[in-house]
Amino acid sequence: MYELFFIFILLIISYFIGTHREKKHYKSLISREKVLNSLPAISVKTPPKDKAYNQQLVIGNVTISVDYFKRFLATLHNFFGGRVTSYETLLDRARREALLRMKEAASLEKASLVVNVKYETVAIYTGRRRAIGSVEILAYGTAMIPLDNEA
Amino acid sequence: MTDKQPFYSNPLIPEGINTSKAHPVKTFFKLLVSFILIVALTAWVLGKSGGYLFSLIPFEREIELAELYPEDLEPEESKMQAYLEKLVGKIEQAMDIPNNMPIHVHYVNDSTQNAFATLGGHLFIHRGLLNKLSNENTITMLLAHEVAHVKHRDPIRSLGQELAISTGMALLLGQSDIKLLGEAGLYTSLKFSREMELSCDKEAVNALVKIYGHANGASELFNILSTLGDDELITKPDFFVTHPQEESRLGQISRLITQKNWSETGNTQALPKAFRTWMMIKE
Repeated sequence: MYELFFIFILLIISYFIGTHREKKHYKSLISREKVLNSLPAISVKTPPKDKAYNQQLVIGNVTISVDYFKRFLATLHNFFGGRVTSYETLLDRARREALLRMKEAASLEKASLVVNVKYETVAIYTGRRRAIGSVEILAYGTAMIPLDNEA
Repeated sequence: MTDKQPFYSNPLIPEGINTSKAHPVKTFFKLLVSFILIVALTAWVLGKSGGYLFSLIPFEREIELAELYPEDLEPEESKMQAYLEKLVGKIEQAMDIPNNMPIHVHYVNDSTQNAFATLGGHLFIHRGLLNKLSNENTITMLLAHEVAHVKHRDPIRSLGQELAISTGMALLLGQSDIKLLGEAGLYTSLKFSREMELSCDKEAVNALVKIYGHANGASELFNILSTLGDDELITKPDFFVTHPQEESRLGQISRLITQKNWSETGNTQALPKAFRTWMMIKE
């Protein structure tokens, strides 16, 4: 029965740390997204034919873990069904971070556009009873680098 | 550049459309409380029905379930056992234990401060606890309490409860650690509920009065038991202990004694002179 106290304390600590880090991450995401908004990343497969482009693969990859509190909450969600709200922010953050990293890679290449953007998601199973501990999200696309930029 | 491809742009995504606005702590408590209620209710229903079903098992079958306990006693220890058996014999008469319910008492020579009743009518009395009791009346009270457990079929009911609850929980939570009848075998002390303990206390003090004509020794047993619990109380907070606290057991007995107008000041029966020798304390 003593384990319960231990779990409860862990839950409180992980809740505060997790919430703090999540807020910090969202702040950073929002400000970086504004900066990189000038570089469109779209899922269209056919590249624009208006001029000559160098085409290059760009990827952005991130692995994020949920905190103990959210994992615990997800177990409860699994029991009752319905929206697993505690994993929604995890996936939202991971997708946006991966896309941002991909865009950052594209902007380093002086690309004007990224086309054919796709996501790959992998749940990394950890711990007992194969509870989802963290997710890896890979965003990749084709960076269109205008040739006249290089001249 | 942008004027040549105006149709490619990313809007700024509004915040919060992909996530829930519900406060996680609120959701957490809502779900946790419902979960605990469901589990508790399931456990309660399963426990009651399991206990009831197992109490329908005839005692003869229960004896078969519990194999013979290997007895390996020194001659002096056998004398102690014979003494305990004699006391149990008196208790059996006082409690009207039916003939088809043989009770076997076993003296366990180790310093554990415990005594318990288990399946098949077997009682185990450890030296550690016996050593604390200063007269025969208190020992009789202790034995009577354990005999009452057998009379009430508490060991098999408790086994049924545990079996039903652990099977149910395994199904509900998807865990499979059903090893109730594992290597520890049947000679382990089963957990009895608060109601079981309290009703055995009543039965025991009744038997005590029938045998000695007064209830002296009953309170003493609970006083001694409460001193034993000291270590446990530090490691376990009150509300987790399933065994009723000694105070409330003592309270119940005191009320009963006053109600029935029993004397608590009768002469106590001294222990046999050779009692300490029979204990065979090995240090």
